[in-house]
Amino acid sequence: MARVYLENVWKKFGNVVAVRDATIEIKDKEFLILVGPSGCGKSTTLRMVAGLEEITEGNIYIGDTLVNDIPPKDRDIAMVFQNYALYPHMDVYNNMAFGLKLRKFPKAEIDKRVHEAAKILGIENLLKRKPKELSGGQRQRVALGRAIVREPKVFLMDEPLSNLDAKLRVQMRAELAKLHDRLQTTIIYVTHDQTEAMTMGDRIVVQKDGVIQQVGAPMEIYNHPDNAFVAGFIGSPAMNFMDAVLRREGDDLWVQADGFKVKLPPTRFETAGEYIDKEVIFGIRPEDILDLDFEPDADPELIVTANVDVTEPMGAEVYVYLSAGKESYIARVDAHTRARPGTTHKVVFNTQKAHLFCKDTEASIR
Amino acid sequence: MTHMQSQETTLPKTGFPTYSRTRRKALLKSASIHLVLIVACVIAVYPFLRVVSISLRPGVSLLSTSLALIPEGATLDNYRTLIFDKDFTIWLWNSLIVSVATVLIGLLLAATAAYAFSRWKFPGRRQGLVFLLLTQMLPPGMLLLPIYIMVVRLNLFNTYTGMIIAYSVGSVPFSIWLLKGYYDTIPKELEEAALVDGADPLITFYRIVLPLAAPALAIAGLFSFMTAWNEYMMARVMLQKASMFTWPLGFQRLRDQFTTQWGIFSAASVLVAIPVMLLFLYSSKWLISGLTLGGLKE
Repeated sequence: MARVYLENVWKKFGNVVAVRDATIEIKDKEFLILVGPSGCGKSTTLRMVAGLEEITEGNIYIGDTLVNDIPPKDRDIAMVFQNYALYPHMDVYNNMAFGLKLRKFPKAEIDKRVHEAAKILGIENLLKRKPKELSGGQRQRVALGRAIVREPKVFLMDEPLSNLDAKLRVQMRAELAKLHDRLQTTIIYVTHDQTEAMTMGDRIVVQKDGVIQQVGAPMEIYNHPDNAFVAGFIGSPAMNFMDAVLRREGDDLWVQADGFKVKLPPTRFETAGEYIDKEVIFGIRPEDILDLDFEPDADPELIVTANVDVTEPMGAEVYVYLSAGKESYIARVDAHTRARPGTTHKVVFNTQKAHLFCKDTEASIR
Repeated sequence: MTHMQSQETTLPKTGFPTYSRTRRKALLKSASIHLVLIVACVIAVYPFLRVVSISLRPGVSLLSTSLALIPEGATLDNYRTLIFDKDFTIWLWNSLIVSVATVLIGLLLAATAAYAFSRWKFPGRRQGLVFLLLTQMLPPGMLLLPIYIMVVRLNLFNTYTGMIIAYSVGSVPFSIWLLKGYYDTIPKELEEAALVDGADPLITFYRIVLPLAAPALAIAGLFSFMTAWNEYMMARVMLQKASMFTWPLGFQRLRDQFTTQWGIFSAASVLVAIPVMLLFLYSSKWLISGLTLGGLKE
């Protein structure tokens, strides 16, 4: 168990900057998620912590040790790879025992640890099988088991669930969270799946183009994104963004976009005052666009009439694809909505929860 | 269930049902494949059987035109003469030493060099690979003289070492190419997993990469063995001392100026084929495909 500290870390491949000046502190026993789209540098960051990529600039500490020049084997880390990377010529037992054997653990201790880990993961009956005789989910468990037996200071996981089918992924997600509670070890977990990021981690690091966009607890990032990228990346369906202009009418602040105009709460004056009569990006999450039918007491100044383009029933709720003027957006409403494709429908914008972003920098205005 | 029902209803009412036609087709296909294979086997095995047959003939009927596989009055006299009255065991021993050493040295050099070519980027990597390929394009005869001169200057004339070096020169480049190609197919993640697990690059190489490359190593080993085992020309130039002769050189001694002892010659041919057959049989268990299956998500 240990903290991991990345200090102004850079990684360049030739002229391409994969990671730009990353500084992250991962606390002891923390479950930290690195999330971002493909090519954002999250895997490279993880591989630098593992020692599989050299650092171009900066420092990485595991515990209090500077590990820049320490080979992977001496970093006391374990890694779970996206494609499992099980040794095909060894059976499950030996796959899990390999690291311990290399470290010259006594046979009895190896045996104990492998069986304990196998028990935790429910793969005791597979110990004699070769990887090719296992299903995807079983292989993933073996890969996890191989990391667990080592009892390392830090677990590194590179999209470990991305190759599993949807159902298994949900199941393993919960199991990994449980495992973290049980092992009480620092975990750095890379994923491009924002659901995994939201549900599993203590904190999330959102990366884009090698730059860290925001670090924070999942709900903090969800509710208070630092910029439009983070706002759009975290949350599913993604946040709706519309080009708009801020208008002052008397004592009220309004957002005017092509096709609608809604009032902002008065508290917004403090934060967005300087943007009056300027273009901004108006962001609102699909669940903050409400169906007027279910909101009889809605403020009329928040009501927007829009065309219903498509509806996607999800069971408990419906995603309604709306358009008004140039702008189109998604609302996430109750399954009993009367919105039907080809008709117009009235919705309510809950501007209490809406976000404003600077048009030039895309930074959050708050 | 519905699928099965619909299949039943579409069966034609008259004539053969469709499944029978497909089965007949499959039978025909299987039969023709077997026929081709049987013919190929006969073509391959018959000459060998003839040699066995000749080796068993008693001296009086050596030039018989009989086609019987087991000749009349079959005897092991030719084998006895070969083993006890000629230097056959010495030739065989020399060949074995030179061939096995060529395999071991060749594999050691090729397995490590190919790994470097496959995994690391270094100046001259590309040129090196092309150069190795070029050496394979030269006819072996062209190399005779330069190798001879080198061997003489290095005082390796009439020695095992000289032969082993000369044969390795021929087989190592091919083995490097073969192994490099195979290493390229072994996922890098497996090595990374081992590095994180606590292995250094050398342990990773021989605990992870080498076992997975077993099929390619087996083929490279076989190739090196055969190169050295059957070679005549180089041996003819580099070995003058009779006690150093490999079997192809020794065989020449079985021919006198006016006669050839075909019975003994055949017996010798049968005996030298045995190590090669054993080697093929032994290495066949390594020649299995899909060794890396299951390690990674396909």
